[in-house]
Amino acid sequence: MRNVRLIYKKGGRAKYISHLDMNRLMLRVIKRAGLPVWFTEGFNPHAFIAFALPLSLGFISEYDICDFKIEDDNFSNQDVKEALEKSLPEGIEVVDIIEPQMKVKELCFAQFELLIECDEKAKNDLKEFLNQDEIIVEKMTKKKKFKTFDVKPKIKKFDFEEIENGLKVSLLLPCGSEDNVNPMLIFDEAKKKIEFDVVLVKRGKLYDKNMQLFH
Amino acid sequence: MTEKQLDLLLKGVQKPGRYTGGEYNQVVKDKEKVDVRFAFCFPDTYEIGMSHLGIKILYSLLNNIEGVWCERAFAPLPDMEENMKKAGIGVWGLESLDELKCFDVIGFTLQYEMCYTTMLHMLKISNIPLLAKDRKGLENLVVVGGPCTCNLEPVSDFVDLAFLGDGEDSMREFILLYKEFKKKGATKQEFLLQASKINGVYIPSFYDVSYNDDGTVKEVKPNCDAPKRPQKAIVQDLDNMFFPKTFVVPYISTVFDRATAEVFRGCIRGCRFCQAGMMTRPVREKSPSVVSNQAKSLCDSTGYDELSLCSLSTSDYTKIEELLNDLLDWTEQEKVNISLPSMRIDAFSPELLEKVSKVRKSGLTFAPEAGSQRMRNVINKNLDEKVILDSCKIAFEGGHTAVKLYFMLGLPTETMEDIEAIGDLGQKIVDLFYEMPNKPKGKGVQVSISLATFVPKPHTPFQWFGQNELELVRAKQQHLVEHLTTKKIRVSWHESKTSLLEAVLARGDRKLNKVMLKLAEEDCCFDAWDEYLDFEKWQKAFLECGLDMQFYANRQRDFDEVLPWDHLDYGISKEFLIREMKKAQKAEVTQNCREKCAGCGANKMLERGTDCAQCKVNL
Repeated sequence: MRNVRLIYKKGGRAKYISHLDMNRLMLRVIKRAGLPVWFTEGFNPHAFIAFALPLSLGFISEYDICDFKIEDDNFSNQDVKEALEKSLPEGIEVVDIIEPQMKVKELCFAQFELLIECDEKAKNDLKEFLNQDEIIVEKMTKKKKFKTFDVKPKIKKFDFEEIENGLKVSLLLPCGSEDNVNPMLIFDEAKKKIEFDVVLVKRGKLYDKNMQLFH
Repeated sequence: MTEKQLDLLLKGVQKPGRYTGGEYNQVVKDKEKVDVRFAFCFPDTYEIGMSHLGIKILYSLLNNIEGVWCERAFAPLPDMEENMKKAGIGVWGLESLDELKCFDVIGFTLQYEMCYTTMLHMLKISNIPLLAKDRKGLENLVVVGGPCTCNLEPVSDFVDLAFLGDGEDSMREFILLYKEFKKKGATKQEFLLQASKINGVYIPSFYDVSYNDDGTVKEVKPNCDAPKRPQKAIVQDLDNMFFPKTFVVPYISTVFDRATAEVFRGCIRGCRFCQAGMMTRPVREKSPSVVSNQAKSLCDSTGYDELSLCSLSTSDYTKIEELLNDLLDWTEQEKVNISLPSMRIDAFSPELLEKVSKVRKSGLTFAPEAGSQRMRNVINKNLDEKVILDSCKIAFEGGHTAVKLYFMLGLPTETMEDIEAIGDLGQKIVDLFYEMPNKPKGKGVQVSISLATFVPKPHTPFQWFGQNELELVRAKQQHLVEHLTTKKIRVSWHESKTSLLEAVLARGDRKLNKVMLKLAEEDCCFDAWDEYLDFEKWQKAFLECGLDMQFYANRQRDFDEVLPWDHLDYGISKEFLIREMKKAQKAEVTQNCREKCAGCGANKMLERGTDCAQCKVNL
């Protein structure tokens, strides 16, 4: 038995599949593919799979992670890849099948890219907004209370690119169990003052604390 | 609609997965290269529609025909509809994202009467003329199928064509004919005339209805060369019947999200209230090996790990043991769980339970339907109290502590004593639990009683029966609650107003089309859902049309009255239904079809002929 890490892309209409639904989807994909995946041995045996990082509904991603265990050692990574490719639905693609080198809890940063539609004035306002020394945002806690905090120090890097009718904003944000920032937290705050539309959010590559590509 | 437009529409909408399509196994064809586009609509939410086996069979069947592309469409919930209205976009097929008006044929499956308004609303928000006579061309032909077509008179003005009975053969014939007539540029009228010759097709506009002074139907007769009594279609041989090799696999969770294998059609039981049991006769079984192979293909191609066996009463399948052995041969290894809904209480043996090894220990549900033995004889639910108690005992010994029981209230000849008997039966089950020496420690028992208000349905022995008035229904519900002395029994019931409307529509006539049109103008939708039903709008519509709900729901009919659905032939004879109703009034039971033929007449539909001597005598 060995550990296998599936790296996949999610886009198109598949972006409307929620995290919870992804779990069920992947179990079915594995069954369709006939992969000899390890099953839990409890009262209700089921294929054991684990997603590294949930993706918000509506986001697309180019580097999503799903881990599982393969029981049959004769099944190579290439075999796994081929079997999965035949069974994945529209919008989900295998990027790579690897042997995991890092632990999920080593995950630290995620790259985001947002496509924004707005007019010239809003472009400048947005740039100014992100360049502030302090960006106070509101977040709902698990106890359904609002807390406010400064998100600016958590934005590790950000950059703008002018595009037709808007901006492409890239951000490097903390992710994982220690600290996690959803980019919409920042842009929902900006929306209170500036008029713009977030057309697409893409989560790119994932990194550990030393900015090594998560793998 | 483009995917980008879809993105905009989906902003802020709950569960966008309902509207996106793109699921695994959906069928996409090149729209430039297909001859006929068919929109298969389910007039309810995606979650409900995608749980329905019929849509899966026919979707696959139609898409297997060359030149035909069938897509799926469901009703949008109010949040989505709001966005659609703003964008000026109507309901679309999930595969192509094209709106309904782009389709040649728009098909609705009518599974329950309360979805009629949703069907009309889907057409309305898609900018398709509601009335059949206002749709002049061959395109946007509105066709319907499903159990409700056995009396679709209340919506007959909106429908171009209806399928009666099993759709597999009649739909194939229909779509091939449509393809041919579209190609040669035929008119709608020319097409419909030819289509009316297809077995199982009913075209409401080809029939004129006249009424008596008291509002009852005087006569229904064809106004053209259409069959005098259109007959329902049946599939003769289930083993060779089309069955899908795979299902579309939803992303979001639906009500029934699993592989479903059909084991037989029809029912041997003859419960007198049951429309399905009467309308799907005669009984036709699939061979175990066919069922098993079809089920395996489904599980392999969808990735489902749950398989449900589907029929009206799975324990009546003559080869159930053989089938389970066939299934267990591969399901155990592939870790697929088998579930058996629609099991009769008297078939609930420990051996059977053990075979279905992975049944989870949650609740158990039984449907005695009535509390007293007399009442169960009236409805011909041949089940005695001992069997019910024995089954509960087996369940308790197996570790269950919760039992749910379904009952109907408002049945013919029912008295308050019969109502009390429902509570008494619950009490006996509670007592049974506490008398068990080996009862689970530290756990109480919970008996849930679910009461449905009886709705008399067409083509059943109770089709003449006047439904209990709302006040009487409420008095009976109240009486039962007051009769109970323990908190171990919980009673719940459905909204009785829904049952009233259901009774109106189920046995309605063509005069109700006016009411339905008014309701459509009022944007009524999802009336099957208590939270969306606006009863006052219905009352208002009836008042404005000068029609009376009681006339349809609560009025007791005479045997010689012409019923609005009498011109539709479902294979069972009226004489049989009258015989059964008379026996019901005397609380006499009729044996099941295997014990003794009751001479309903359905066997005459079998091409291979009937081998039942009794049938021949009775015909």
